Amino acid sequence: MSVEVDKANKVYARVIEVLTLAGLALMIVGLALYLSGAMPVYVSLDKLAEYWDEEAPKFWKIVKGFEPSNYDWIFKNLSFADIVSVLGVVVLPIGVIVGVVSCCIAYSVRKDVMIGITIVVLIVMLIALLGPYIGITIKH
Amino acid sequence: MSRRSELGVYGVIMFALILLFIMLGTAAAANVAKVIELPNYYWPLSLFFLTLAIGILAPMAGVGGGVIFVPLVSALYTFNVDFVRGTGLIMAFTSALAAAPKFLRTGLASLRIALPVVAVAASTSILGAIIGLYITAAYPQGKYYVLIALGAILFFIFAVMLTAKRVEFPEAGRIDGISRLLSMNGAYFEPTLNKLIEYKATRVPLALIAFAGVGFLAGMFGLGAGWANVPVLNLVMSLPIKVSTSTSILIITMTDATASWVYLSKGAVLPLLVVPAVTGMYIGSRVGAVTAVKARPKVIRYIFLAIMLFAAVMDIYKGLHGLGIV
Repeated sequence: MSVEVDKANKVYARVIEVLTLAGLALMIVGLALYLSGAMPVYVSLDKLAEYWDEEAPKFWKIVKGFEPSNYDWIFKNLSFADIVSVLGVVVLPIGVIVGVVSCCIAYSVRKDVMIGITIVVLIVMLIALLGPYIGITIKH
Repeated sequence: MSRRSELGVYGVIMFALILLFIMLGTAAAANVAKVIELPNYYWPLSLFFLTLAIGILAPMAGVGGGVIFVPLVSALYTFNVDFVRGTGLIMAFTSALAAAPKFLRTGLASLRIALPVVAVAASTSILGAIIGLYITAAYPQGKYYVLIALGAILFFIFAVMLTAKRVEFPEAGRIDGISRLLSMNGAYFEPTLNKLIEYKATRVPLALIAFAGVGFLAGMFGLGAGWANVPVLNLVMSLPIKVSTSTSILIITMTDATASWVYLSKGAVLPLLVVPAVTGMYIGSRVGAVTAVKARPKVIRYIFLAIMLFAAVMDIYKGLHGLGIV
């Protein structure tokens, strides 16, 4: 028996499906390059294991001499294998944002009242994404 | 269920339990009792097998993996709780992203119900994630308080799971204004009854208040929030149990997406921990989802309740020990 499914549901499903697979692929490829030594690494396994019991800010201060407070540590170091893996993680929440934008379009086309709620969700997601640049996150 | 099929189910459960106990036992022997020393590369490998076991058991118990992963790994592994929470969040997030498309296409999950919930829960999950990181960074002994709080939360979840009644097809009461305005309803095909089941959300204002609290806890402790979503969707909003579990997964895709930025910007996501955990969970939950259909839910639920109780005791002990109280 077939069930009639809202078009926005189908659109969101397709978008997150494709981008999750892309994110997972990047994560695994990055780790494979890290372990094989085929690409330079940002933090070596020995350093990682020596300090992974420290809190995140202290870990980075000891290992790389800075405390990350935004996404620069990712986007400025994409030539390192372990950061390629982190980029794979970044693709996952980006996929959800793209999915929500697609829902906004689907709802607005047929002037559905859900557009208002969807825009609120999108705004919350963008605030979370831009938080480090607009002073939302707490400085340590 | 045939005898052979039943044996297969229990075989998978036994395999997952044995794997779980080997990984946890080895971690305890190395990090708590300190009777063995293991090479560095062992730990990411151990995370893979641990999450594989959790992934097999989690769908059968109807909870996300994060709720078990974070307390167990915080208690027995040497990774700092910041990295454990970051890994737990990404792991639960990926697992939800893998499952949600199927639920959306079959009508089991609906954006018309999930989006209003997310608007409230995502806002409070950002707050929870910020406070979670702030506690460990601002206070030297903060991580021990986080561990104690985590143990206390687990006791609470344990009590909720032990006492909560799950209603398969709740009677929908009066439909409130929000539910009517947003058309918070849908339908799916139920194969066990061979008929189409229609559902409508009720008591939406009360449910939204509950979700604000759930979002805060999920963000703060890096937990998948399925354990709390399902009782609210099922018992407050009067949605069928299958719709509640599926919509909970859909909600997690969005709340965890929002909370993950805080962990990424603070560098609390280490690929060597995240990738094995995500891969193990992904493979395990695919096996678990197939087994869940055939398994007797009561047995699995009791297994998970026992694990949860153990994790709660371990976290509180480790926190009190760190503070020098015990």
